[in-house]
Amino acid sequence: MSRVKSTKQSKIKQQVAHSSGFHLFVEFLKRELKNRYLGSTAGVFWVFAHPVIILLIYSFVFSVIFRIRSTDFGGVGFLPFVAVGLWPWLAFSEALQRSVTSVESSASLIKKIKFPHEILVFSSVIAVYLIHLLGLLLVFGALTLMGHNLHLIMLPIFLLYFLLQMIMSIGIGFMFSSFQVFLKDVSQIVNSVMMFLFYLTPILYSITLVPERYRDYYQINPLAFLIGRYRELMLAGEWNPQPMDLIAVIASILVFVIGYQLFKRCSRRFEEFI
Amino acid sequence: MVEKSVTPDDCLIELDGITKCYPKLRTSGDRVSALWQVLRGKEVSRQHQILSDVSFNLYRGESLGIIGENGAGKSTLLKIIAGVINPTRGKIVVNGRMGALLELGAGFHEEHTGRENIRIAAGLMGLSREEIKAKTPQIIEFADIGSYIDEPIKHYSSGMVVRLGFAVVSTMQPDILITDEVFAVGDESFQKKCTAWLHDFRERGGTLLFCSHSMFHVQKLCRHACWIHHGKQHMYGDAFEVTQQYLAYHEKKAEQQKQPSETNQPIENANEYRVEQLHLLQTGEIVIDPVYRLGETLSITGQVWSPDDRHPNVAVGLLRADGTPVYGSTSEIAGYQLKRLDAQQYEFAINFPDLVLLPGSYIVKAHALDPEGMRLFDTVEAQFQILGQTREFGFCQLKHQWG
Repeated sequence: MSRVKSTKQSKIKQQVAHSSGFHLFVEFLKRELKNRYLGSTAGVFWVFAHPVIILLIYSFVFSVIFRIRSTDFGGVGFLPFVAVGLWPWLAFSEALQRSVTSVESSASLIKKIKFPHEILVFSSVIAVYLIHLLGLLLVFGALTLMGHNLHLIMLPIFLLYFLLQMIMSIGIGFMFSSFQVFLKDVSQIVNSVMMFLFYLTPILYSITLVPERYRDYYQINPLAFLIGRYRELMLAGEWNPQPMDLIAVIASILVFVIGYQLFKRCSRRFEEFI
Repeated sequence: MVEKSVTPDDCLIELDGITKCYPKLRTSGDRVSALWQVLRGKEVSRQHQILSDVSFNLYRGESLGIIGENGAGKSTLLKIIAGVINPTRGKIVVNGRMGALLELGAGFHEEHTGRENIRIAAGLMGLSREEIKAKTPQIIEFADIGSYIDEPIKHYSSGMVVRLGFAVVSTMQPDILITDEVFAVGDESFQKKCTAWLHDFRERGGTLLFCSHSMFHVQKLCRHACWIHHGKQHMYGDAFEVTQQYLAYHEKKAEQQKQPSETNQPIENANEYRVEQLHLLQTGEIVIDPVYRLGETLSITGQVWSPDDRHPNVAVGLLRADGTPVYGSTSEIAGYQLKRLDAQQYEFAINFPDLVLLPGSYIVKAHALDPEGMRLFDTVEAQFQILGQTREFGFCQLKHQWG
């Protein structure tokens, strides 16, 4: 059934293959970053310009046209309020959308070359997270310069939650990218669901604005939880870990492990269906 | 080929009952149920069988040729051995480093430069970062594409992509080389480089596993051959025996279909090895359309032009006027060295004494071959007649005794 490797010699080779697997991942990551952002002339500029434009539009619509009161989102400015939630959201949704098709779009590679397929998911998700992390840090810097009071001391803890979010994204990416090989509709479904999810996640509004009877539904949205934490950390400078945080850690790791197992099971057969 | 005593350690590849099936996917319902079955770790219920129950061992230094018609499953088998795809059933054990020349340039990305693609392609072949770093200059030198190495691949000609692909594989020093009919990649000069490299690879004790439609190459390079027919291992054994059976099968088939069988097509090129002259001699004199009698000596001489002034080889074949081959051999098989007359000019002579050919019209064909005896170039023909009065049939007189 499987490729059995015997003899000491091939054990050594397996170790070599392992280290070159990491090297391969780094190369794929570089390729992913380069493909997406360095191809166009302004390259890196667009990486940050796009979310900033989104942020400015929302800020105009909500604070100028709708004139929402700052008490509705905890007394801080609308810009930092949305910014703290928007970049993690963009990282999540873009990572998912890209990772879903990551296997399918490498069909020619999968049919012709032997390599660990999971690298495709890892590199597509991590590339997106790296880019948005950089954007996030730049925006935090810009907001601080503009005089907004961000609790940058909480940044390390913020990054731990961001890492947790990435682990979950990789796990979901594993699942959906393998389903996509079999059912081409998965990516369409993901795109539509992301549209819903954007408005069902408290990014443009605070969870406190949600009527009590709907608030329980927000509990099952892991992003609602994470964005809540991001805001407490950066805007209020508070960190009150609760049992829910432990559950979130366990759940993220579980999603990753299950996703990886599913992917491993399917990846042996990708070439037959792709 | 160097004979070696075979120990279990020398077994590079062990195939046991390799079977490969592909799912039948007609409707999206098929895809949904296939996903469900794969997730539960079960076999997909509706399948085509592409390969069934292929088993053989490949030992170090014992090259193997895989032959068979188009669509027989040869490429699938090579991909399974290369680890690109997994067999549905059966066991495969691989010892040693494998280099697959299945799809040259398959891992390349258009937007990236040759240098960047070397890093990825070599990584895909399992080389570590340090190894890649150390070998990159060698790869670049072998590919020999000049300053293009720092240009994106999309600006390359297809030949350059192939050169780069071959350069990566050739530099990784595999124990086993798996190729899918890629002896002739790139332009003539690069082909020569490939051929020389392959020769060197085998001299160093490298093992070759390849599929080919060229029986000539299989016989020359391999000790064993495996004939895959409709996904089944139809015949496995001595390269000559298997290829001859295969050719016989094709002749039979061609006869039924009245179509010529697949043959080794000569390469035509003005700057390559070519036969410049071909003469038939009768009692020491050049005669056009000579006539011989049974028992006489057929003498053939000719000249071969060598573009690089290395000793070329020549193949000479006798055919019936209707094209049926009677006999053929090459200077490379016999170990005969052509005589150098002048720069790039080489002469050969071959005698067939005591002619046993039965009366009729015959053709002599001469092909130029490269010094490695690998590539076949142009063809020059001459005709002759055998006269005689005999009521025997066939085309040659075999020694026989009645009673």
